Amino acid sequence: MTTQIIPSNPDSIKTRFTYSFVRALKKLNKSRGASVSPSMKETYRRYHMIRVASYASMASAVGSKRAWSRAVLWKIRNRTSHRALKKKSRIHALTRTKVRENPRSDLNFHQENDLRKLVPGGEGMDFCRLLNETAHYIKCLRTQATTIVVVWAVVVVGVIVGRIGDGCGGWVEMSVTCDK
Amino acid sequence: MNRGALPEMIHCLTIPANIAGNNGRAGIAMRVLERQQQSGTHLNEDYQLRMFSVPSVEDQQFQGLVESDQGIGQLVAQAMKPDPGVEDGRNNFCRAESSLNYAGCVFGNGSKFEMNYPIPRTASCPPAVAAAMPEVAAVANKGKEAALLEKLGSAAGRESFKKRKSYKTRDLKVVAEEQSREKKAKGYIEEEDSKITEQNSNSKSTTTTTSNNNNKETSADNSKGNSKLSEIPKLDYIHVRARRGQATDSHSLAERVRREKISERMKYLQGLVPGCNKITGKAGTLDEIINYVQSLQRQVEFLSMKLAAINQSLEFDIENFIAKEMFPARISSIPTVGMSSDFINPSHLQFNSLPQGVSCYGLEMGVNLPDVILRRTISAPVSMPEIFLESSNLNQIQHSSWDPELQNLYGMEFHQGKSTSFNTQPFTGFTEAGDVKL
Repeated sequence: MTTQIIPSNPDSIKTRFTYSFVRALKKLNKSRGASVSPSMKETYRRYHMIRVASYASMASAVGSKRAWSRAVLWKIRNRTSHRALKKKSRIHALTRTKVRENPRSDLNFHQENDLRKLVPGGEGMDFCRLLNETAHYIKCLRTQATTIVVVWAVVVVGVIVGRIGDGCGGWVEMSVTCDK
Repeated sequence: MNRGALPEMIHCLTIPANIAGNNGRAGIAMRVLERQQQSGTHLNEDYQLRMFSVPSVEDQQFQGLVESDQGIGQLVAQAMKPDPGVEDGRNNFCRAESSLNYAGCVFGNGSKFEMNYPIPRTASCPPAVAAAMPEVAAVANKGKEAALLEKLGSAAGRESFKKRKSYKTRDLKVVAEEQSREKKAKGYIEEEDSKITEQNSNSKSTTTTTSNNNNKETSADNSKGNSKLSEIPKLDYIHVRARRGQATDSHSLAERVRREKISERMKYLQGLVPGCNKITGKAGTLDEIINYVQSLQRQVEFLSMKLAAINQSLEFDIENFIAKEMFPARISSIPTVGMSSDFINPSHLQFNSLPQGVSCYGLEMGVNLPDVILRRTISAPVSMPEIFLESSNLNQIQHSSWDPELQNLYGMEFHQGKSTSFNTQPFTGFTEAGDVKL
């Protein structure tokens, strides 16, 4: 009764994200080795690593065709190096120029800026593109959350609970409301 | 009945796949229908009745023809073009310009399809407008902005049907607005109208000749159809845009395009973010979007925190299970049972042999107590398809060297999994479990 699992859509972002995320998790576990020290600090470190791994695998699954994924990848790549400072200053410069060149600083301006801060790489975009990227980013975040839930369920429970909605289903919505 | 069927088809138009699937001609034909419908709805009552009583005769034919033969469907569509054209011409709008010309060329063919509506009147109009057409086009061309021209030219290709359709619909809205206002017509419109009326007077005599001419012209027109059809929305679009506001300089035009784009995307985002449909206003929508993105990000962080917390106790599980889950093709000895089509995607992480894994590692690892408790809390709401349970899980439970406690747990899970529904309960289970764990 061995059935070979063929992904129904092998090139989908979800599949690619799952592959790379699970690979990253495996690597994380391997690097940790056998010495398990269940301290708070260790847990936090692991949490940080896993979070970064999830973001990185999501961004790499999306590829470089989206501005936000490029920004995420760039951020992660330069995360440890000393270039972080330089990057920070550059981002500040970008926002400053953006503020200056945008004369319509009216009602939506603060929200626009908030959204810019939320969407990675949104600092230099015009509003139209920002909205585009936001839509894609929302979709990808949903996928990410769903997949992490699934991985978590597999790890903890050992069984999968059935079908997971593909980002728009009730399940993720439910988890959102529960987390709120 | 025909009127009832019409919106259905128009509704189909919004699906781009439909348009892509159709031949270009059929797509255009349906666009014409849509245009007819939309402009018709905005007309005043008697006029609407007058115009619509007639096309409803052909609608049936049209629907049949589009499916059976797209070439004929195109002809019918072209023959139906006089309606919007004449409507607009009567309302002193120069939108009749190219469509009337176009229709006039083909109308002779249209008469083959037993179109009983006032043929003399409409059939006689087109040649006149066809004569007026070059002037109109010239005037419109002068008014074009360079940037807009470039943009529309790029949209004019045959492949970009979607884009053109969006322009078209937007045009229609604008035109409807304009119809509600009272705008003065320009000089060449009046000229057009006078020609139409003049032609109407001696229409009866010229009907046969025009139809003959039109028959001749049809072939040429069909060959040129591509360029012509791309011209129609272009002209409409530019004309409407130039007329709408008073500002016609390129900056304000570009700004308008930008605003339209933004509102379009806002609408899309509203559809994406749950509970955002009720909120009106840009500010509220943006707020909601920001909240949603934030909550999603927090959710991802929370989930990765959960993963981090759990992985400490279940290190082996990740190594083995997920390897098996994710690369089941490599490890052929793992029975992954009962893959229905719903469960084929590996990103769904099919139910895979936990029992086996535990039978290998579980005893050495020592499934510690909190873990068991966790399983207890979770296993209740977890529902599994019966196929899985019956074919794989139970067998494996019986064959595996489990603790009786765990076995009981899974038995319980089986019974409850049958009864519980999936949609409501699992996540409550998960949150409980997360709370237990964190």
